[in-house]
Amino acid sequence: MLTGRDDLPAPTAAVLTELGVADVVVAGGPAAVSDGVLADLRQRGFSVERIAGADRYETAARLAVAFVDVQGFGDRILVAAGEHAVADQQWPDALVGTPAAMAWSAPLLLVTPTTIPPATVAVIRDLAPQRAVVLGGPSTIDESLDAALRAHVTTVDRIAGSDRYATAVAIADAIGTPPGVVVLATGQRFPDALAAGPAAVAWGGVVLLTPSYPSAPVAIGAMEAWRPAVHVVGGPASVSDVAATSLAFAASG
Amino acid sequence: MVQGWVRPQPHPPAVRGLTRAAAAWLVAVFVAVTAGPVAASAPPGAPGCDLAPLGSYWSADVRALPVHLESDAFLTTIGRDRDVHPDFGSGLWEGGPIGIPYTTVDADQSDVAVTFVYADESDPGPYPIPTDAPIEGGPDADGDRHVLVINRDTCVLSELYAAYPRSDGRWDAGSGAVFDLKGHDLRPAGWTSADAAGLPILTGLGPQARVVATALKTHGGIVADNGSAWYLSGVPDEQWDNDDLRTLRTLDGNVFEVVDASSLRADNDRSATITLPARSFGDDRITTAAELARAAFPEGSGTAVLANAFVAADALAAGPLAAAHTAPLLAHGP
Repeated sequence: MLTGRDDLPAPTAAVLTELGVADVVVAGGPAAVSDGVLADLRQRGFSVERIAGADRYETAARLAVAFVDVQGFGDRILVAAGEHAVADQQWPDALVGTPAAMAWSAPLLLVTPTTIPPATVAVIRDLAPQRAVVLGGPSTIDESLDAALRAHVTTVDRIAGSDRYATAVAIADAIGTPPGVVVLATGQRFPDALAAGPAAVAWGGVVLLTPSYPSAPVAIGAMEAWRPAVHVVGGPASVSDVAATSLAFAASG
Repeated sequence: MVQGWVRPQPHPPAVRGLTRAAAAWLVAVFVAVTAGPVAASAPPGAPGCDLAPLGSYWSADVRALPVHLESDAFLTTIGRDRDVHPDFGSGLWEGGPIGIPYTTVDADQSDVAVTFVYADESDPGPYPIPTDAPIEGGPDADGDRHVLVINRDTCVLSELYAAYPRSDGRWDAGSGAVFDLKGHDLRPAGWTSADAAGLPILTGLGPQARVVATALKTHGGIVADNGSAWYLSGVPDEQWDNDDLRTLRTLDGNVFEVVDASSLRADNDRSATITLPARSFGDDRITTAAELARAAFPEGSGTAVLANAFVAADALAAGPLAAAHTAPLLAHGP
């Protein structure tokens, strides 16, 4: 779909009305969602708030503060990669972290593969967490970052698998309770998993990723262990019917 | 007749030299994918007929199945050192096409009588076999002489073994079997078929050599209790690259394990049927996010979070805030 830069996409406008939404929080700066869209939303009667910083790290930091305002703060922060050596590969670990963020009342902050950006450091100082939980292995966040985080927190844990699919399973396992629902998104492209986290939390579940075909064996193993209900987000080009069926079959026992 | 399932072990197999396998066993491989991530497996000439419907054992994923307790004994009996042998390709061998050909007919094809040697284990017919149906190995072949015919209107597959046409249009055959490709019914236990194990041959065929190994790892191969060791059945096609296919011979019996596929069957007469999971999606990423919001928030939501679905950067940390509001994350862009 091609939408004008200042136009709210029609399917988004329709569902906002349908769900009875009153307040819209825009995540990201004008380059991501233009001021014209905010004006459009206000004109449609929505109360609109933009949460954004100068870059993705400051945006994440402000979103984290807003998260704590609503959810409260436990004892830890989640740390995920905000960029990756390969373009458009930074997203998987952050996007599957939403259920863990909720389970632990842990805001999600972003780092580069080797540094803690100043905006992230500032929030860590304000929150004074005891623990930092790094999502993803050394190929996404260098091991040197653990030491850098220890300057701010007592304990640094890592939740990582051998790849994005295994990391998603490991994060879900770390929450501790076998999830009743798995929202399944493609691990090969970013957008489907974007909306999956809040949906999974609404259902009391988690987000797992799979290649379109064949499905990720690590996800099959998780399905066999958890026996969850399965909800796929994205069309058959994103998660093939064969992959979806094999995972649902594993989940059905 | 006996059927077993094999899948290659998850570790890369050792490369072995080429040795010709003596005739003992046959492996029918189902190739679930053709040229990409699309599962639909309709054969050329019969686009409405899926050879591997979802929920059938032909499209089942065997990777998570347990190893059969007698796996070692099965592999030793078939031959651990015998190489995988693609028994199909392009061109001619001993004057005939390499592989088992098939043809398609429509509902106007008249049924003809077939006289069987093994009539007590054959579907009686009559069969919609055209006079000029291609015969495995060519009209003068003295091998298995399989004939495969799909009715593209009804998706009924007819298979003959040792088939010889008569001048009046009728056929003589060793055995014959009819499979409804739209159903999950299994052949009566103990009955033979053209592949001698109660399985349809054509369902084990596919057009892309490179896909065979992936299909074996994901969906396994079904082993019949006669034929040649690790022979893979396929249709002859000029698009096969025989040199490419020959690389399959670097695999031998040691790369397989036998899995217990009993969970794939609903009962003795039907392969299991598996329901597709719920799915939220639209024509694009924006609609997909909207559809997921409808599914996950049926009672509505006072708040929504809006992020750009074409640039990941700013949206990465938006999920927890939306979840804290019990709110959907909706998409904007590009």
